[in-house]
Amino acid sequence: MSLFNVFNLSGSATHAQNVRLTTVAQNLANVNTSASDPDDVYRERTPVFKSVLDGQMDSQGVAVKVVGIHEAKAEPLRVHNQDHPHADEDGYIYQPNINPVEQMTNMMTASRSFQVNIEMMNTAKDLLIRTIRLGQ
Amino acid sequence: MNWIDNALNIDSQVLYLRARRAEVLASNLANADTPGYRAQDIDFKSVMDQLRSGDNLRPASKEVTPEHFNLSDPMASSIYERDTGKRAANGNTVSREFEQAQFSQNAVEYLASLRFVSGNIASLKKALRGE
Repeated sequence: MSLFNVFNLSGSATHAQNVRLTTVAQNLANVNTSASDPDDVYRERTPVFKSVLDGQMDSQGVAVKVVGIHEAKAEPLRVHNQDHPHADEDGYIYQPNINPVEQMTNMMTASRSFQVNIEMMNTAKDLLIRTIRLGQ
Repeated sequence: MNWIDNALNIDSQVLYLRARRAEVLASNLANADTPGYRAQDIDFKSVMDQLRSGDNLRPASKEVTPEHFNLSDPMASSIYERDTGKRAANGNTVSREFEQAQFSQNAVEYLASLRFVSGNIASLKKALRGE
């Protein structure tokens, strides 16, 4: 029955959006971290989504899969701060190149998508319950 | 019981169509953030043509072996890529609001078909009881 597949599809999407929210939280939490070596600096992370065929018996549904977490290649910020314990010989520290505004909008889209998918599951559940009661 | 089949057939097929469309629209919304995903839909006209020519919409088992059912899906040919006029930088063509509206409309249509089927069942029950 196709309506049951809605749970699989929306379930995969809520999982994907959850991963996205987690990475946004990670990025925002690490905005102010620093290091004395540019290679040790935290880099912005983003999940990579891919659509995959659901593979149920009578389904043409396309689910979402998180295929990996991508680390941004953007150069870390070089900030002059002589008194910082992480400062190198020249008095510079390195900080992650993360745009907090970008992260916040990302978070809003993720939570919106999450909501929409939950609502779809609710509707599908409602329709199925009514179908089960058919003929009573 | 051919006459019972006939009484319930068309509405149950439409129910199946609505359920399938719910699945297709759920795919679209699930992939609203997937790069390169293109919105899909079911072509109502081609489904109607299929119904009119007397085809069954539900998958029929072509062959059943002990290991698996091999199902043919008559509706697979009616699924097409919908032109939404939207194209994000990552190649995604899903418009969330549009899909949500379509999903709600489809749910209401499913409920309507469900009403028709239960109406039919009620009439059949009356006929059987001789009321």
